[in-house]
Amino acid sequence: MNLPLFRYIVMAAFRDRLFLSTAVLIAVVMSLSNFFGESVVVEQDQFARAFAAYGFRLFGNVILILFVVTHIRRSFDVRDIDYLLSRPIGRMKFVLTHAMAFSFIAIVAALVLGGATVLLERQGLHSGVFMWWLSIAVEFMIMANVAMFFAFVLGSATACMAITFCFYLLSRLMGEILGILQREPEKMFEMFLAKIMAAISVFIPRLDLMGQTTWILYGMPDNITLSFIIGQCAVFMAIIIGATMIDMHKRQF
Amino acid sequence: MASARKKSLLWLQLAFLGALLVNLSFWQHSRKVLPVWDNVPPAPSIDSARMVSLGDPEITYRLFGYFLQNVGNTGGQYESLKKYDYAVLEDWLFLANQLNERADFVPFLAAYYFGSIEDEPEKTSHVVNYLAVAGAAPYPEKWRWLAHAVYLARHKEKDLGRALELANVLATLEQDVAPWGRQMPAFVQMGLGNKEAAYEIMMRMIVSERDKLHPVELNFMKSFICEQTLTIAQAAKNPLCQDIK
Repeated sequence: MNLPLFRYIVMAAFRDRLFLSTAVLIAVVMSLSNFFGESVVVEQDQFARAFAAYGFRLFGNVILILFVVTHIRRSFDVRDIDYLLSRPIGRMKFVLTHAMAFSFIAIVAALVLGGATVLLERQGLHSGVFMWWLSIAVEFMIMANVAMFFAFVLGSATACMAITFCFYLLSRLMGEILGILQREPEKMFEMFLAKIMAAISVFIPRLDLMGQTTWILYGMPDNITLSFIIGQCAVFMAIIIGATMIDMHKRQF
Repeated sequence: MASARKKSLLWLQLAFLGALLVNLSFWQHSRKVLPVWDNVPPAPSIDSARMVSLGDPEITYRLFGYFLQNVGNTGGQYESLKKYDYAVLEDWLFLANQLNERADFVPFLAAYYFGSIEDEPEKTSHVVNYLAVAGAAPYPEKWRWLAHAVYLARHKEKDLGRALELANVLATLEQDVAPWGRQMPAFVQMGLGNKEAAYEIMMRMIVSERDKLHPVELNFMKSFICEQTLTIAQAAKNPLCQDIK
């Protein structure tokens, strides 16, 4: 890892008001969640906690993706990348440092947003809350690195954002899609589509198995383990960083 | 040059005024178009419901719960429960149950809000259908919803047969049901005029659970047996009725 480059990326997050935006996000999401919570007849607390956790998770991803994509695309546009690569740093180290810096920023965002959710816990902390917290940190890391991959590969910031958000949607819906695929297709075309979808699902992380708000309300899940969450993070990060490295290796400047 | 600019400004102002007048005519039409209540919309499938919140069923449950609470509110106007399509509402209730059977929000709405409808036994039966399932969920205190289903079936749906069927389910649940919940079949049997059956149920409870029952509860059961299921002559001969406090 290249420490000056790491520091440069983290400073860019500060300069881009990423952490200030996170603070504003916390204030807005908490206020709206409490408002919705107060407007239901019973279980106000559960409503507020569930909406806050969901809001932090969703908008946390949005903020991170926007930052990573705009940062990398801007670096390409103003020739920062060319300058940085002219320094004594290899391309692999360059990608790895970016991945580590974005992962660090993702962890900080998860700590802050998860911490805000913990503050809303009035019935005492339990293992389900910590599982949720850890899983959104993993999700943020995966999505920040996916955004980095697309920002390195694609030339347009708009296309990068669009495809990263599509990827996120697919990751969140993959469980449902696989469930639908289990049913017997009636037509040949449906069978063909099912095969394509099954092939795509190999490259999509199961984010639907992470950050479930029900864990916050009712405790640890029965079917998800800590090793699954950490394992998925390790495997998918290796794939996405590896793919970015291959792209950088082939790239002509 | 200056006069040309003045002329073009005049044209711009005229065009702006024209746009305002057209907008006014639009407003004349649109202000009469008010939101219309289309009754309870059809419930989506469980797959669609899960997709609403990107694979987080808890959030879908909360959103749908919020929707159910406010489904009759259209633009600040509240519709009467009597206008609700309870058959469709039942689909929504069961959908919510599939999303989360641990929460009490939707059972609460069903029991105390939708179940509060008067003189509509057919509509109430849809609520009873749901509460019967929600009350049998294997979580603590869920049996209370089943007890509410018995109450609704007996007093609002006026279907004593159904009430008895549900009361029997309640009495045999493996959960920690309060004594009054287990006594429900006896109350319904009394409603049906089956005094002997009511006597039998209460007696069985006293024999099997005497040590676990609170003295006040025990006393209530004895007085129920002696004053409601037995005649004065029968009570005088029954040893249980000799020491009622």
